[in-house]
Amino acid sequence: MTWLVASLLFLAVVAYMTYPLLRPPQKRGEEERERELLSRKEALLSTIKELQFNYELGNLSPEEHRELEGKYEARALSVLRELDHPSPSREGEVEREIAALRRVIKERRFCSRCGVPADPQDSFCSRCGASLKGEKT
Amino acid sequence: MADLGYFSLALALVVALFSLLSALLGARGRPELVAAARNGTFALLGLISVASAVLAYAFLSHDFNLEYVANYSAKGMSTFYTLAAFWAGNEGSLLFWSWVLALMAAIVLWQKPRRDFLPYILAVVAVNQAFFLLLMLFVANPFVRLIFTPADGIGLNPLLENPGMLFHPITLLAGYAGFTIPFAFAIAHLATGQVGEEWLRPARRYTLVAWLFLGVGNLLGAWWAYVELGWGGYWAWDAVENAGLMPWLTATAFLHSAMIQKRRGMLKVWNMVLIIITFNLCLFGTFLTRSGVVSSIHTFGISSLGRLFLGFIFLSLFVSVFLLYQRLPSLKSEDKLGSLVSRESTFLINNLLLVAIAFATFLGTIYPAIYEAVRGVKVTVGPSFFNQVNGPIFLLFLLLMGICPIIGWRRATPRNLLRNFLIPATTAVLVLVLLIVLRVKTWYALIGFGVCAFVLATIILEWFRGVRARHRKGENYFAAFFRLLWGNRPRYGGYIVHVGIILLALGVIGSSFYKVEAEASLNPGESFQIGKYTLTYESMNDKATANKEVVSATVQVLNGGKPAGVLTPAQTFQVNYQNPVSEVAIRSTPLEDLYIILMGWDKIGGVAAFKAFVNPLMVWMWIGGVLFILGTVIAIWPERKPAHVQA
Repeated sequence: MTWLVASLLFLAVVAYMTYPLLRPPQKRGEEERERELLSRKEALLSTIKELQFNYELGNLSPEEHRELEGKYEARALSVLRELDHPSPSREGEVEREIAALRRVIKERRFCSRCGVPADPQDSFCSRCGASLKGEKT
Repeated sequence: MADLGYFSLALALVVALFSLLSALLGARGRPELVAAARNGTFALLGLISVASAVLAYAFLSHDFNLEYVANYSAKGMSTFYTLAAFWAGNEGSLLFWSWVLALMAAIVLWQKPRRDFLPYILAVVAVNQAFFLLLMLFVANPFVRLIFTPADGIGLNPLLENPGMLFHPITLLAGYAGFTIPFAFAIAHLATGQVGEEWLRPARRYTLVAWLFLGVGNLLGAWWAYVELGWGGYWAWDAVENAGLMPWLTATAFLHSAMIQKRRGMLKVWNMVLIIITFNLCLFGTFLTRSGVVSSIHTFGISSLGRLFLGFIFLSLFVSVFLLYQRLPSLKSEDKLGSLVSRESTFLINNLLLVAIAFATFLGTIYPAIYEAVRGVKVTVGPSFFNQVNGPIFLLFLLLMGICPIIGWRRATPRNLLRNFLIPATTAVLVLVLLIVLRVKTWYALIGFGVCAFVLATIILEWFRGVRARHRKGENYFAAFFRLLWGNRPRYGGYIVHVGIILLALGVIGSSFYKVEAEASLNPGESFQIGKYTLTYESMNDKATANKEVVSATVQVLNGGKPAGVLTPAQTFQVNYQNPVSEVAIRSTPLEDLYIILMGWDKIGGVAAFKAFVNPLMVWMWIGGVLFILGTVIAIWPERKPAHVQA
């Protein structure tokens, strides 16, 4: 009985391991490239968010924040640009997402009194309370 | 049945060697070979699981014809401890290690790492598996048969019969085995010569998992020592304890310096070195535990395993240092350290402190072995060495733990310093004044408590500011608190871990500097005094079951004259073991633990000897441990992937 199970185990393992050798090799998939780009995008956006938050807490000076944010935004845009050439099936979805992200980056407003970035829907600055009406987007 | 276990291990060795070869050949543009190695890694999980199931079944069915089962289990043992006996000896521990590694490798593959990393990850896993399988097949075989079948087994050492036994060894082993994965990613990064930081994310993630397991393993070990070994303490700087602490420290350093690499592209070589050291310290820990080179309470029997582990450490060090040397040019720093007063430098100093503690511990641990080899005389390095060296470094480390997260990047401005440090520093001073008013006099402890207050205040302040920022955007405080936590899990999980470490430090400081100890031999009805407690010995009770006898004493406790319950310290005599085991009685309050040990008794006269301790602030240590687990789990919690990636 033991040896029957052992032989079956042996055959199963051999078959499982040699199976890929018998199949024709696959090309590096478009899907994988896209997955990598998306994960880089996620990482960059979360870094930008983190910078923003650190700035709001006063751990970054305005100049430093602007410099670092510019650096990461440039990287994020280059990733988005690479994502601009997706496989036809994914095109619509990715397009929509890029448009949404661009909107977020574009619509960022700054308080004219203290320079803190503000959300699009804010009416007053979250730090100094100055009115944001009429601020350029 | 047991033959099936042995056969699975043998087949697994063949599979591991085949995977190694296939992965290395496949790395040169032969994806079908890499795919075969990948399937081989999954097959390893299957085969090692079969072997583990066979061993577990042998334990549950009391197959005493197997030497390992006969050595570590007996008929009268509960199912719980019968299963826990699986990892009571070398053979089972190795099998468990190998299984955890196989499981983690399968999880890594399931998460689809980068395609160019894959062959090297597979190769590192395969080499490790081959090593462990070789050990199990030829040196520490769990499936060795006896020439006869004993009627009953020897059973588990009674000291091991504690719930800690179920979790302490497996969490430690899982931690040790788990560090293979970040090491594999580091090697893959070096071998492919990638310039980017792609290896860092998965390496950090799997380091956190292994770090959590190792940390929990150490804590459970401390807790077990405290409640079971009956000497009133929890950590003795024993060689094997140190072996579990050292990789945890270097991994902590890595987790922090990885942040600097992620944000500023600095410390690339340093991070590699930390990962390599951590992995090798895990192997070194096992070498210490299993070789008998250093005497320790964790005696597992001397075997040739130690030498083989040492050989494997040299192999892995050689390969990793060689690869690192080759890739040095591509690991150049992208940025320079701005100023000494910046977050980067405090991170770096903290890193150095952690490594310094690990290094001092390493020296203290191996010194007796080296001294004996050179001079031929046995010496021991006692806890006082470790406390004197590591205590001050640890205090400094705690202080920086408070400073680090709130100091500005690059160069901290005076405004930044004033804004972030005024309140915590004031809090620390207030706490110090309060403690001095309360007549706390030990200056060492005063500094410790002051530092703890400072760090706690910085964390609360940071958290409060975050909540306030969200509240201003229209969230109520409750929602703001949880969204803040959930919106940036690595950061706030990290803060929770920091709070846990502070509470742990409170427990350590309290119990190290304010421990009270008393001993007494009493007749029934007599009492003795320890601190503000009066302990009255009332009676002795004797209870016998099939395979053990429990002798317990009833002790009435008065706290400052008021009744505070009854404690029953006991000793247990196991049928198969000569030495009795102490069952300590502990009464815990947030302020202090009352800890009573029944030392011995006179059967005729009724006199009983007791030892008692008052350990201040001990509870906070375990609460800190729970926060450490909670914070780490929050930090590991995966980010939601965009829906279309999963499709």
